[in-house]
Amino acid sequence: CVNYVTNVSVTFVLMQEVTATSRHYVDRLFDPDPQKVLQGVIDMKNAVIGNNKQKANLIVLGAVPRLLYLLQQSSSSLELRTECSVVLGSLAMGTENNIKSLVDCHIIPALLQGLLCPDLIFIEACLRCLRTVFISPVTPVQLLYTDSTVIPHLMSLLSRSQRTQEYITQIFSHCCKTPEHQTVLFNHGAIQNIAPLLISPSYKVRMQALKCFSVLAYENTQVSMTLVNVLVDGELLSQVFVRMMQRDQPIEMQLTAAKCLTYMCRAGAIRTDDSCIVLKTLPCLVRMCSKEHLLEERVEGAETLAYLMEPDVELQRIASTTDHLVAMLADYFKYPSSVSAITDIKRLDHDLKHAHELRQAAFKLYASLGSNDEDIRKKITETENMMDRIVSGLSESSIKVRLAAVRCLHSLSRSVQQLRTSFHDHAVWKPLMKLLQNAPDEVLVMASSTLCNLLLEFSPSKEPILESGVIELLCSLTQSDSPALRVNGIWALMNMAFQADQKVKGEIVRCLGTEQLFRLLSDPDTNVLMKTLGLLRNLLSTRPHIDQIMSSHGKQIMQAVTLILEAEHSIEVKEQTLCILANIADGNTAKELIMTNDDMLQKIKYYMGHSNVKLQLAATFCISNLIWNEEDGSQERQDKLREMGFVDILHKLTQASDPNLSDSSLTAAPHGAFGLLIEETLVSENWTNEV
Amino acid sequence: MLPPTGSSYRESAILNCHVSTAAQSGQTKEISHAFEMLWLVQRPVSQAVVSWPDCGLPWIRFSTPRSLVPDSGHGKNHKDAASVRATHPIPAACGIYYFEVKIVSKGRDGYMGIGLSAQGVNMNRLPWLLVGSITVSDTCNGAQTAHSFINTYKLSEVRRHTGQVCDFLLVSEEVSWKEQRWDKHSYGYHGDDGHSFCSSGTGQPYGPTFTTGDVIGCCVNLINNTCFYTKNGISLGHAPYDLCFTYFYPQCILQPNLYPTVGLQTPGEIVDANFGQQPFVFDIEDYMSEWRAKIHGMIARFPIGERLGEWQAVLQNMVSSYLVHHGYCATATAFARATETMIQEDQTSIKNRQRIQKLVLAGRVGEAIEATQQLYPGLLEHNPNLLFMLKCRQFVEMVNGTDSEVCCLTIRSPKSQDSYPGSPSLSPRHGASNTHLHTGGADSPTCSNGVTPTNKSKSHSGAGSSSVKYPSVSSSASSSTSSSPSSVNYSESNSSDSTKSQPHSANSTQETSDSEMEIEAEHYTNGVVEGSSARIMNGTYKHEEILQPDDNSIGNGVTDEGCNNNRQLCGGNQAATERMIQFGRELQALNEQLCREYGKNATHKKMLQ
Repeated sequence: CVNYVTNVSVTFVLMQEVTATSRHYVDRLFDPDPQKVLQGVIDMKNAVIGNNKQKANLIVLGAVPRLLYLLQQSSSSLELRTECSVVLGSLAMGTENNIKSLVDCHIIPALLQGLLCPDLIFIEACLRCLRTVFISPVTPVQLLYTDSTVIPHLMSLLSRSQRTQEYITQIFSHCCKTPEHQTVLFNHGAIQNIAPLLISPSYKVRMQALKCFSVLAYENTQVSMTLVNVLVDGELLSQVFVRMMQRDQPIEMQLTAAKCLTYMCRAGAIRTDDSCIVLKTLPCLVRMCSKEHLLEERVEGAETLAYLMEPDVELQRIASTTDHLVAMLADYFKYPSSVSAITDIKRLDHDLKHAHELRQAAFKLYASLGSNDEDIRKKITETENMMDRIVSGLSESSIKVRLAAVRCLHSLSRSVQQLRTSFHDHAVWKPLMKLLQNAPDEVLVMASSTLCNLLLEFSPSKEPILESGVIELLCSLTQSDSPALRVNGIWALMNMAFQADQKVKGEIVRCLGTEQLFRLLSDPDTNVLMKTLGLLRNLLSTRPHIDQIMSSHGKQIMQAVTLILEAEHSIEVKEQTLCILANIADGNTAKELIMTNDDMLQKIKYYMGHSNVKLQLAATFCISNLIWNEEDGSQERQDKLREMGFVDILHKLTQASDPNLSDSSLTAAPHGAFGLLIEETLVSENWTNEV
Repeated sequence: MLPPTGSSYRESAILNCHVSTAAQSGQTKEISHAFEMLWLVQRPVSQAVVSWPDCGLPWIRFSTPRSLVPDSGHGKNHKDAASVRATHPIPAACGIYYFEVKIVSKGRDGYMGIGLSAQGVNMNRLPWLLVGSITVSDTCNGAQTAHSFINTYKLSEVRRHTGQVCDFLLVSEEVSWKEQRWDKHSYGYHGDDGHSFCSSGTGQPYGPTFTTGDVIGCCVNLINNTCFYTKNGISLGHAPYDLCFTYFYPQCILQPNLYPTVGLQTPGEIVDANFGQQPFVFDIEDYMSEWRAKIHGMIARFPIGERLGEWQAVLQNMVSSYLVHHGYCATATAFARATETMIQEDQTSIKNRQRIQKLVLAGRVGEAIEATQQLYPGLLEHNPNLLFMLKCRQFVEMVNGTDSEVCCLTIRSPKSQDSYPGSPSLSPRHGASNTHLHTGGADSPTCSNGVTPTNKSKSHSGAGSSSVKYPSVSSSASSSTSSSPSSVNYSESNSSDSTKSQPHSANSTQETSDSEMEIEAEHYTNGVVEGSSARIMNGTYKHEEILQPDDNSIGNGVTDEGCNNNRQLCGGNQAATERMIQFGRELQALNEQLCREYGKNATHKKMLQ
């Protein structure tokens, strides 16, 4: 202790001699007398504690390889080896650069090797050092998994002491980053080995074990399913977690336990209506969002809560009424507060650092809350300055915030009412369009998906968006490599074409180009194909439009239709295609394209006799459009179809059990006694685009 | 309103009460444990709120017997509402209090409210607690209903009266649930719109609506004076108001206790209350554990600064200053001797302060002011607010008849007054005898019954009634004489001057009774023991412009006690009344003066009310 003090004061007073002193420490490591070496290491330990400069100096002067050598040398005394690992651990406590140098010197294999030693004190020293190295973000976690014997050995060390338990679980929780890591740990019995630690008398051990479970269970069904059945001291693990969420427990523990249960719930191991979720986890997470907690805790709480209730509307409803959550989240936007700016720089700095995180967490949670329920969406948009915040969030520098803001906007855009009112009032399309210009894919997916909704027929934002040259942008999206972007692009175009005027339709066709259109028709993604067919159908509606488009692109379209009808496709795709055919049959001149194509008529006939009612119906629509009485040449067409034997099929259909179908067949009877009533089946696709 | 149409709406709103039948089940221990858990500060379980006003009778469910008029759209009107309060108020020292109500049926329209309400009476001045009320809004039917309740439950409960807390049912027809929204200190969460109401007619959006099958909880946190509701075990967050509690100094409670309350309006509404007999849906223990941890943390982290290691001295100093502050001078001296510390204050000064305190506690505020002015000249002059507070109290005591300025006028010889409570050592016993007197009065129904008809007749034929009243008073006085010798002197003087003052009383009241006939009639039909005092009070405040209508609460409370104690009211003496009115005007003037000097002061306003 005296040594330490004097050394420290020496380094402080004589800064210019620092390197010289450090040199002296390193030199002593090479002393031939092991006793002197030991004393040298101990002195070095005392010298580096809390002194980053000294640490850096020693590393530069090459102390690490020598220390590692001494550590690995079986001839060294255990005491020396232990002291070596302590010094190394101390060096690792310094800057990230220190860690990098240590890792570069292969400290990890050396320390892992050291774990094989039977001496507990030495093992603990090694583990402590390993822990410090592994919790640093600069250490590649893969190093833990390179040697397959390491994990089993660590598992076996878990029973040695509370310290080994604490360090090992801490290493695990920091080194479990991928599903593969989860599987490795799971396969080596992590759950059985770590579960008993949850009731350890040591708080640190309990906490680290809990963290371990939270990373193990994250998006991992296998682990989660196993966890629910684990008993700890006769108690179900979920109950242990619930106990850890009690309000008198430290916040960190409550939060981590809530995370565990959240992950287990999302992985399907716990039902969303289970009381431990509804009455415990959810309220606990809502509590974490309250003002009285640290900013980090609030961020984590909000993100976890958003994740928990994302798929479940009932949880969203409950959360929206819990503790005024919607209003509470508004506070997340008040950082840095005006008070902090004036009173204290430190706090301002702290607030600034977390401001982005807080905002994105709040946006995420709003997005989750409002994803299904109209009332909640209304509540959110009515929160003070909410729309303004989203709008400014869309153009923030931080990608995370932009993404979260656009997610929130997307969630709210599912509301017809909001589209008509607040979205229009705040001109959200402007920043949205700006966001679409140059954004990373993940933002683009969300933004384009939101745009789909904004382009819906009843949205007042549709007009200004059209004028801002969105068509080109969307067409370029359809050429993206990402299926999600292609779907969104074509989907938006489809929505745009719905009941659009001739100019817009022409613009779409011109801009997209028939080539691209047909490329999309052969897209491997069924979703893209469906939306493209939807676009075609929307383009081919109302008679003049049909005739105009068919006169210019008739050949290609008929070709594409034939191809799809002939290829292996799902019922839905075929139905959509037949609907397009029915639309074509509704045109004045376009009819002829079908009537002159015997092959096509045969196909229609085939589908009228198809086992699927939907296809039958679509094909029958097509025929009834062709033979519609009030048009020129209907007589000839009726004659031709009669020749081709459509009467029999229609007759058969009138006998069919499906009332929907038989009605339409009746009206389609070529004897033409009845007026045909075909409702224009326009695509008003489910516009609530799920992403 | 049309007359009641019969029994068709009799069961209009039913309140199921699962009363803790602690005695009969083996769960006693468990239940009492549960109650203990509900208390951060330990208090006898007997004071915990356990039920609606059922008084331990085996009537588990009761209906508010109201009859509604079919034409007028029953249940639509605020006046059709009724509210039920629990038998006991939320204990002042409980820290956190919680109860739950299950909506068994939302009835026709689901206009239900869950919340808290105050009694509207100054509890402090009442030696007993008014422990629950069923309010009946149908004014036409009110009288009759009230009677039926009293006959059925009240009298029996009066017999069960224990002297300290009585399970008592008061029926007052003037307050209805919805009207209670406008009442001071009533807080509710309503099922039809999810709004929360706080002492006002307009609610604020608060939470979701609730309906059949929902369990609504109400949690009162006395630590930070907040309140929140829960729905099906989920906390809905703080209600947008702070509760007005002033529990800390029992001597100066201005705000009354709060009671768990349920309001019902439309036919068929049924609710079940749970005061802790069954497990709650909401995890209240978890909530309490959080607060416990918070408080422990606060204590653990309490900054001790430089004085570390001086615990002993700090503790001794604390004990010593407590003793000195409260005037336990002998104990303080002994303590100082034992711990070898010094007492900062002179012994005589302690004794003086003690004397003034006792004067105030005995209600003789005028003397207290005088003594203060003598012993500590300049003190009151420098603290005009304190003086004002004291004068307010003095005024209240005047109404009560305790204050010497009035007493001097009513009692023949001022000396006798001095001789009795003059020495402070007697005053605790004086307090005890009060209670006893009151107990005697309430214990014997004949006594209270005796008073009521007297009053009634008195209001119609002034002088004749004094002879009727006199025996009843003396009977109660003599009953107390036998058990408590110390009060003999007191009751004698009372009875003697009551004879004298009776005509005055009759005179003074008759003046007002003409105009106030209606109100009086209601009071009589209530059959409440303190009918006479209430009437006097009515008369008084009619004269008294200073008092605003609100002081019904204080006034009633004070005078009630006065009556129960059989102490003569100032209302019984013309001169005293005049003196009182004059004093009230002085008080008003003083307030105005203070207002000029210090700007408006909300506390003063409150006190004046």
